[in-house]
Amino acid sequence: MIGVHHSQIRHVFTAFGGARCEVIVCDSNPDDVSAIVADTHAFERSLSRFDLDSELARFNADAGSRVAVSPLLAELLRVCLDASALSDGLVNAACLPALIEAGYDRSFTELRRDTMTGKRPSRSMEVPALPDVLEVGEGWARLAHECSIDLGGVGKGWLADRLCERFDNAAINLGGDIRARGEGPQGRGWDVALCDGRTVTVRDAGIATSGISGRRWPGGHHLIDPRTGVPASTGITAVSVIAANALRAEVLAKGACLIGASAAGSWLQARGAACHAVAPSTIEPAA
Amino acid sequence: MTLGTRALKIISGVSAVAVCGVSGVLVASDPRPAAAPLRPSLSGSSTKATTLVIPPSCGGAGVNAGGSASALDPSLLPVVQQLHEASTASERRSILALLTASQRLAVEAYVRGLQRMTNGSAASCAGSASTGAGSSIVPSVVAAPPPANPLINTYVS
Repeated sequence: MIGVHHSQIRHVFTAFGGARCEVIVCDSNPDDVSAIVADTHAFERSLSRFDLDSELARFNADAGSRVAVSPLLAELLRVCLDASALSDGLVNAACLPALIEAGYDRSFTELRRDTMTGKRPSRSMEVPALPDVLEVGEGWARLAHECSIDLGGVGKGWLADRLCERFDNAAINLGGDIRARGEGPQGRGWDVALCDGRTVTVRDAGIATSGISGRRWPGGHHLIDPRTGVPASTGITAVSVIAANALRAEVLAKGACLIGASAAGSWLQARGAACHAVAPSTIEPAA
Repeated sequence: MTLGTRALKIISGVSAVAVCGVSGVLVASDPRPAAAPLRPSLSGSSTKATTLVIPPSCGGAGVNAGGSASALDPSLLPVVQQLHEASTASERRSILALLTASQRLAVEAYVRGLQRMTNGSAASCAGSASTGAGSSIVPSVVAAPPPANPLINTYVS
């Protein structure tokens, strides 16, 4: 039997405030990889809450008014509403004021540099249900007064899916939100290590890990529980989820992290996760 | 009672005059559309644009996220059509390669909006979870011994 071997190009770069991103494409050319990197940076410029000139920052600044939005922002806002519905409101893009209150008020690269960060006390902030404060129409959107949006991992998941779907055989990792398609370089799929140290091999799936060990600072971390308005404390360090695509995996991983260790398994199974891993537990295939 | 040939001719003539007169009055009183073109444009760009007209979304204005596609730069509409007609991933990449990064993102977001309309609008209206195209796709997890060195490490995002 002759083994399958596809030519591959692998590229690692940094985006989304210092997150490690990785592209592996098979049977393609360097220009396609360059396009992925360029598109990732363009996406970040357009939708970063830290860049005051970004469309998202301007949309947040115009809260209370109905404003024209680009197809990209409109699509991502709709995705946020879908994510809210899929997660029973646990994945809530309207948690930005609470996130800022918790200390995440600048890019994470700056946050790590600032030794004073996190020393202020964090108070609980009420997080409104996203459908109550966000409307999206044809070419316009409206955010309720004094609300603001952070796309968070939902944006990365959406982008990983779009970039990977340009290829028949590729894997895209945008800071932990992974989408894989095709049979991989050796024809047996894509090997992905999960948060508990186990490895799974997938052929067409999204994999995401969410948790409180990554983006944290003295006194807080980036995972806000919308039910309490403060950084989550549910006894889970991290959750990896394998689902149909990166966006779905991201939403489910974050939701499972927030819902807690005892309920995460059944919650994920009810939403079609193929399997999941809870750190430091072992991987649990869904029934 | 019988009518002569001459009388019948007179009656039919008077009737014809009456019908034409009434019709003339009705046509004259019917207002013309102010700006409707009498002949549709046959230029290429117009015909392509008309193939991409978006029907009203399931909810219309006021709905949180009725499945609709936001306005795209009209100059990119032919690209959307080309992507729709492309049959391979390589062809689609070649089409996208001619655009800037921002244009590629705009086009792909627009296409997702169109797909949402055709595939997911009912689910969105019902408030169910239709995140992306995925809820009906089952990812394949290969039951093989885990390799020592995985290609990709996922970690907390």
